[in-house]
Formats: sequence, C-alpha cells, structure tokens
Amino acid sequence: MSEMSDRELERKLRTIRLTTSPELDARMRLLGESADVEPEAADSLGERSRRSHWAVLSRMALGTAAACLVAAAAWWLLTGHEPMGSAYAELAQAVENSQAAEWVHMRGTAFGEEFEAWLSVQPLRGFTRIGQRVSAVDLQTMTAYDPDTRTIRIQPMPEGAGQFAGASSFFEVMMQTINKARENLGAKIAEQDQVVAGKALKVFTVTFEHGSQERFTVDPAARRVVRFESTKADGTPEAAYEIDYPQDGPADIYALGVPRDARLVDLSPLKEFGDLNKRVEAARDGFGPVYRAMVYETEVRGNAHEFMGASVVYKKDGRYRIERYYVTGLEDADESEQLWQQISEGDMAALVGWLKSRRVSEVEFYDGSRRTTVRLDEEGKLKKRRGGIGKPGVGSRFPVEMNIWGRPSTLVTSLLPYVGRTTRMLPPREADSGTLVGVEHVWQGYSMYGHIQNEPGKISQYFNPARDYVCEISEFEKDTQADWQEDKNWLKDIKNSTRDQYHSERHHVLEYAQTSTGQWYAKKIRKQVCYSRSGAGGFEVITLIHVDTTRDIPDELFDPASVKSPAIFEPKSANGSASR
Amino acid sequence: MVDGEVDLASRHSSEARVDLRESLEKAYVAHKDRLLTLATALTGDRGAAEDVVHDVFASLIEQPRRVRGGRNLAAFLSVCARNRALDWLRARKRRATPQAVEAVPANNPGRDDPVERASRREEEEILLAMVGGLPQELREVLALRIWGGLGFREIADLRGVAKSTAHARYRQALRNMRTQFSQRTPK
Repeated sequence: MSEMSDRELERKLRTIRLTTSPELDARMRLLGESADVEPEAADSLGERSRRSHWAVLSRMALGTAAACLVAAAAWWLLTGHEPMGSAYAELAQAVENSQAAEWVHMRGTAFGEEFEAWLSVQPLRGFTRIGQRVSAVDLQTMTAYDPDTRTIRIQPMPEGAGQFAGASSFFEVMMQTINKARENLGAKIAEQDQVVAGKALKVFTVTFEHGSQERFTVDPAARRVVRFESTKADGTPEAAYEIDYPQDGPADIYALGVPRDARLVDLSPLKEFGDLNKRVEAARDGFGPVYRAMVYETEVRGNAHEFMGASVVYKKDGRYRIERYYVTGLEDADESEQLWQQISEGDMAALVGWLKSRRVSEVEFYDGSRRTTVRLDEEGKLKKRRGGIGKPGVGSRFPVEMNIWGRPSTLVTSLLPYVGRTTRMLPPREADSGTLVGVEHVWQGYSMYGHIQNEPGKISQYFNPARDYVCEISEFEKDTQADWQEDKNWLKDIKNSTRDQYHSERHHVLEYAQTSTGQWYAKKIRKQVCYSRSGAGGFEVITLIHVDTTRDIPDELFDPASVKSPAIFEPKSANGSASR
Repeated sequence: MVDGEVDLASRHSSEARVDLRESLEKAYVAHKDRLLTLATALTGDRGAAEDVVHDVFASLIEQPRRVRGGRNLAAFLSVCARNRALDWLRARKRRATPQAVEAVPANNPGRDDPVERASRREEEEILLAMVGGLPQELREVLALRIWGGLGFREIADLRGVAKSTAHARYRQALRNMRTQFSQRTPK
C-alpha cells in the first residue's frame, strides 16, 4: 500500500459505496407520496422496476383494481363536459350500465404480459392474474400469490388507500381525482364508428396533454364498454383488454389456479393493534389544541454536550408554525455546556433568551393541508416554497410532535417499503412510570439485481397508557445477519458484498412533564444510534422539550405572509450554504 | 433520457406529476448510494449524510425546474449534496475529526474469500476515515471528484478557484492519503 499510485488509490476510493438505510428509503417514499403528485389511483397496471417482489405483487393488486376503476371513473370524466353531446351521453350511459353489472371481466395484455382481472363493486373487490401471479383486493386486505415461493401473503390495505375505503366514497375520491386531472390534463375526446365482425361499435379516444391515449370501445346495443386500450405518448402499447360482464366472478384466489397447498402468511392487523392505535390517535388528537413548544437538541460527547439545534413550534386550530435554528452561534464548548446546564435544569428562559439573540434558519407553515417553507435564497432574499401535503415532520430534521410524544409519536402502521412484515403485540413492560403496552413489527430483507434493496429489521414501540400514550420506548434495528429472519437466501445473490450491515436506534423518554391542562408529554428523550453490533461508532442525542398551553398565539403568526423581512434569517454565502 | 435522468420539463398536468414521481423514484434509486457516500465523506457523519440525501431529493421534488439545460442530473445532485453537507458542517461546528464510518466492501465477484472481504472492508473504513481527516478544502475537492463525479472545471467554479488550483488540491489530497496510509502499522 505504501507504493500505491494515485491511480490505484483513486480506484479503491471509487469502489467504496455506502448504502442508504431502509429508514431513509421509507422517508423518501413518504416524501414522494406527500409531494404534489396524484394519488395511487392514477397508477396503471404492471410492475415497476427496483421494487421488492412482494411490493410488486401488492402494487399489482392495488394497481389492477385501481386501473379498472380508474378506467371506469375516467368514463365519468366524459360526463362532466359541457355541453354534453349525444356521444358523451351514450358513453355515460355505457358507464352506468357497466358499473351496474355484477362483475366486470377483463382479459388481454398489460405491459407485455397476459393479464386477466375481475372486478365487482358490490361489494368492492377485485382479482388479477398476470402470468402465474395472482392477487386480490377488497376494502380491508390485499392478497398476493408468489409462484416462485408458493406463498400467499395477506396484508392490510395500506394507509392512504382512501379510494378503497368504501364503494361510494371511492367514486367520490375518484371523481375528485379525475376532475382535477381534467382541469390540468386538458384531455381531448374523439369519437369514431367502427365495425368489428359485423357489429357496429363506437370508439372514444381520450388523448392526454402529453400524447398518451386511452381508448374505450362501446357496444351501443348493449350500452357497455367492451374494450379498453392504452398507449404511451410514443405510441407504445401499454395495455389492451376485452371486457365482458359475467354474472359471477371468482370466489377466491384458488379459483384462479393458486394451489391450495400454498403457504399462507397472514399479515392482517391484530385487533389489539387496532385498539391500541385508536387510543394513541385519540390522545394525539386531544393534545393542545393550542400550544407553543420549544425543542432543544444536544449531542452527548463524553461528558460534554454539543448543541445541535433548536426549534419553536406553534400550533393552533390544526395549523403549525415551526421556527428552526440550525446554526449554533456558540463559539466554544463552554458556552454550549453552560446553555445545556441551564436548560436541562428547567431554565427555559435561558433558551428563550438565546433564541431571541439568534436568527432563524427557516420557518415552516402548515395550514391543515399544505406546507410552506420560508428561508433565504443564495442572494439573501426571502424564498417561499410551497409543497408537501401533510403535517410537517415527515422526513424533516426536527419532526414536529415526534418530540412531544416520543418517537415515533404514533404507531407505525404503514410499512409498505418493508417486505414480509409481521406484527405482534408485545408482553407488557414495567417501567418506573407505569406498565407499558407494546407492539413489534418485523420485516424481511430482499434484494434485486444483485443489490440489497432492504435489510431485515424490526421496530418495537412501547406506549404508556398512564401518560396519555406517549411512546416511551422505541427500538429500531436492522441487521442483515439477524437470526430472526425467515431465511437468509435473499443474501446469496448479492453482487456488492454488503452482507454485514447493522444499524440500531433507540429512543427513550427519560422524563415526562404535564401541560397546565394536565396533558402528558415527553420532557426529555434520549436517542442512541449505533452502526455496529459492538456498540462502537454510535452517538447519543438528548432532546429537551417544553410545552406551554397557556400562551395566546395570534392567528397572523400562522400566515407565511407574516414573514416579511430577510433580516430575521441567518444570512447565506454566495454559494448557497449557510454562512456559519 | 439517460438512465436516472429526470424529465422535469413539466409538472403541470396530473399525468406529468405521476411521471415525475416515477422519474424521481428512478433518480433516487440510481443516485442515492453515491450521494450518501459523497455526503458521508464530506460530513464524516452517516446520520447527517442521510439527512443530506433526503434534503437533496426533497428539494428536487419541490423545484423540478432547477435542472437547467446543459447540466446533467448527477452533477446537479452532487452540487446540492455538497451545499447541504456544508450547511450541516457549519451548523455543527464540526471540524475534521475522522469518524468511524462503516464502508461497503467493493464488489469483486472473483475474490469471494472471507478473509479477503474482511481485509477490503477494513481498508475501506480506513480510507473513508482518512478522507474525513483531510483539511476541508482538500476533502471537498476529493469527494466531489470521486463520488460527486464532477470535473475539475465544475469543482473550480463551485469553489471559486482556478481549475489548476482544484486539480492541485485533488493531487494534494491523494498525496496526503497515500502518505498517511503508508505510515500505518499493519495489524
């Protein structure tokens, strides 16, 4: 190595590749879902690359049912045009007739594979077969059969699948979706007559703004849609299937050829899990509803405490304002330590005083549906960025309310990126503050294209019923070598030898406090992160929180327009980074 | 489009938004590990590096039109990651103390001996730690060149220095590392 050339060193450096944690991948997925994109209902059939096998099957189930119903709902789109010509009325009637049928049966090709699907809306349920892969969906569950492993997995319908909440509400959601699409898509509809095997048919072609098309072939005599086709903007066929309307449909997935001796893995939610979730959610909904919270984070280094950042959170009537202070402004360790000592002893006035002497790094607003972030741009001017649906905190550096109620603040209910998830209630755990109730999720690892896509992991959460269901302990671990894995065969095809990955994170509420109205929250949380089983290479962060529910908070504080002056922000340097 | 490139030209239509999400997903899968390695090299902190990667793509989601003509996505993402890593460093007042960072052994299908693998892993951990120990000016140029994929002209423009200066710093970084490594006592 002492004789190593620059070229050789460069080569060695270039081969180093760290891999993102499943936690980050999950954060990114949530971010993508909360960004300004259309919901899952707009998804179409078929597999997506770089997804887990089970996720593919799950999405196939969702996507198929959604596609069928999107196609159906898209027909409703045409009924909204004014004035409504006779052609549209015909198609609208065809749609009504199609929906009134007991079953809709589709058969053809989708994304290059043979495809067959059945859909009924009374009650809402659907079955799909693509090759030998079979899936089924209903209002509560998704079922998917993997022929490679001869395993049937039953999973709960994921959160956010509002379109499957109920038949009537589904179409309302779809109509809202389609109407939004109509406003932005500027779809054009053309009609032409066609004769097929001596039968007079009508073809309605919907051309979207970017050139992709959907074609609905209607039998005017039966007043039903009999064929559906879709093509990409470049003309590449995506799907094409014939549609008929049988009186009966499959009773279950076995009717579609799934072997009866296939292994069954039921991941449906436990009743106890659902009950606990309701109690946790009720406690969250009841917190506040008006408060100012100050959050202070420090990293523990030996006996020293290094300031990491602070935030001030205002909440009122479901709206939030979060002021974040990233830069320390603390010139030496003594100052950092002194501030820590004051705050840790309950002297929040010290934090208030410090915050008043500093300038904020960014201010984030949430108005109940959308987020707005205000910060400085590279030229030192105010920059307001709108976007993101959902409460602040998902993926952010100082998750709102994940500090107040422990981390994670609510039950982890949606783990779509995680494969083969199993959930179990944990035995009660005794703590100084009372008896804790717990739940554990475990998921399996998987790989694709010779690379690890997800390490196996588990997360255990313990909530304290005597403390308004604050999440007192949360333990997360991912470990490629974990003994509790169902099997480790997924590791055998890994091209990059990332077979020994470990990451753990533990949050523990060390102290509680109550608001003036008696609501409990986490006053002090310890977070321990580790990247090796031996415990080396980790770090510890202490978070202190103070919540004040007595403060009168003016409404204008929640208006992004209230931030008028760049002077309240930390200045940035010319290259876009913070000045300090 | 080049694999991983994102057609960010339009996000006004719902269909375009679905395409955007899919394109962003592809971009994330294509670039996440490289950006994580870059950010870890710059910050010396794995957790911070993941925050950096997240923030980079969050920014991309919010402002898809930031990708201007002539600048490919990989370079753009590298610059974004670099900026955010510097923000984090300045916020943390963290100086060049080498951090223990777990590295990923290189893919080498023909050399699957466990001892060989362990040896490679140890070497890469050492190398990453050494990168973290470089003076920031050298570390930044090295990381942007190796994991950011930027050319010396781009790095020079970013740093506000001459191209020859960027090149010289890069060579100096490699020299420092070779010297450090040669001084290590083998276990």
